[in-house]
Amino acid sequence: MSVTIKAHDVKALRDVTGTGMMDSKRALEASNGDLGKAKDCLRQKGIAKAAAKAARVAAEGTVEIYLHHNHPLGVLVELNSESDFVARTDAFRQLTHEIAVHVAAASPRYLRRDAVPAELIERKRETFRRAAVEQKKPEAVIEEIIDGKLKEFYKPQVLMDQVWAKDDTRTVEQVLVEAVASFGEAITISRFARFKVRDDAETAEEL
Amino acid sequence: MAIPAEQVKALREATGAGMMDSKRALEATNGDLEKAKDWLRQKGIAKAGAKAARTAREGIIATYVHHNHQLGVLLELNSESDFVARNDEFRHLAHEIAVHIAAAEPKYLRREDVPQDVLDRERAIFEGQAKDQKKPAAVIEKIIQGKMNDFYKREVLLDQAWAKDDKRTVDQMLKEAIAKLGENITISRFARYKVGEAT
Repeated sequence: MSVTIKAHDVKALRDVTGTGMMDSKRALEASNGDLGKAKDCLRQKGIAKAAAKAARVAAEGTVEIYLHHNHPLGVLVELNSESDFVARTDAFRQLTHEIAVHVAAASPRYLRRDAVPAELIERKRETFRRAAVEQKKPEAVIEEIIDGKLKEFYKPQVLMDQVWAKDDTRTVEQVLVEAVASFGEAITISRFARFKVRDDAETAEEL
Repeated sequence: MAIPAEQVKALREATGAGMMDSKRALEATNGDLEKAKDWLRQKGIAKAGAKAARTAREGIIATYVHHNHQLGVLLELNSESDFVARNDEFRHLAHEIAVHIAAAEPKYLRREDVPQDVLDRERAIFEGQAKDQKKPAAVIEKIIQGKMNDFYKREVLLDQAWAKDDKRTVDQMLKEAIAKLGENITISRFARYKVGEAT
């Protein structure tokens, strides 16, 4: 079988597996250009390293922890920048630390709105709709009301929508936008974890 | 001697001990269930196992961050009582596990946490490798099992060799801590972040 293998696919496969160009090309040909299958194919042949540790690191940044006195609560945060140079500055470290402290205090459940489970949003929309209908709101404004209520719902749950703990005139998102301006490159929070003893995430499901 | 699987199961249920410990106990006592129970109790394993059934809801959060801030670990270690959670030895243990996670890069806490599609995929790769070797089916199955065990040892925290002393797994090390501290101790969750590795 002959498929045309694109150069950028070969490159992507090489980046992920660390294999040579010809091996990568052959693997893609054997798997009809499917990157995932080509990866498995290389592993099967023992060409790619077993663990996908070879995955190249694109983003720079720093991780920071916050641990509450007596250790009932801890936070881990990763803040990313484009360059190592920015990631090493004290100001960047300070911002990461402040975000960790904020997460400890404000206990967000999700990083962004798109991380909120779709079925939870659907359930919320339905509840807000029913309330609006019961209050005999005009049909034309119901969608608007739902959107407004949904925003209120996001505010305490979604880190980017939360009010910045240190200064309640800004949201976390605005703090990041300002950071982008002052550091002169893209600054993003890629993930956070907040562990509290006797408070596993699974049982804290919001209604 | 060969120990029937149902005997191992019975001993495990009676004592709460792990499979390998139960098997060893039965081997050491020529398959005598009662003697095997005593053997386990003597080694302090039965005691730990029975305690492991109790819930651990107190505990602490431990952290580790690499000096260059490129790697961080967050961990919850639980005990039954607040008293043990405040114990220095318990806190030290939590710290050591956090350091282990930083070094050993586990992806999952328990075997049950490995998603089915990941297992299927690993299996398919091992099957492909084994088939190339043209061996009998029974041998191939054994080879695959062995490779799956290697996979667990690499990716699953409780199956990993304890970084400080690779003769024990993390699970065995926890059992010893249970016997020593006198209550159930569990790792309930962990997170390990390395800069740029976010999925």
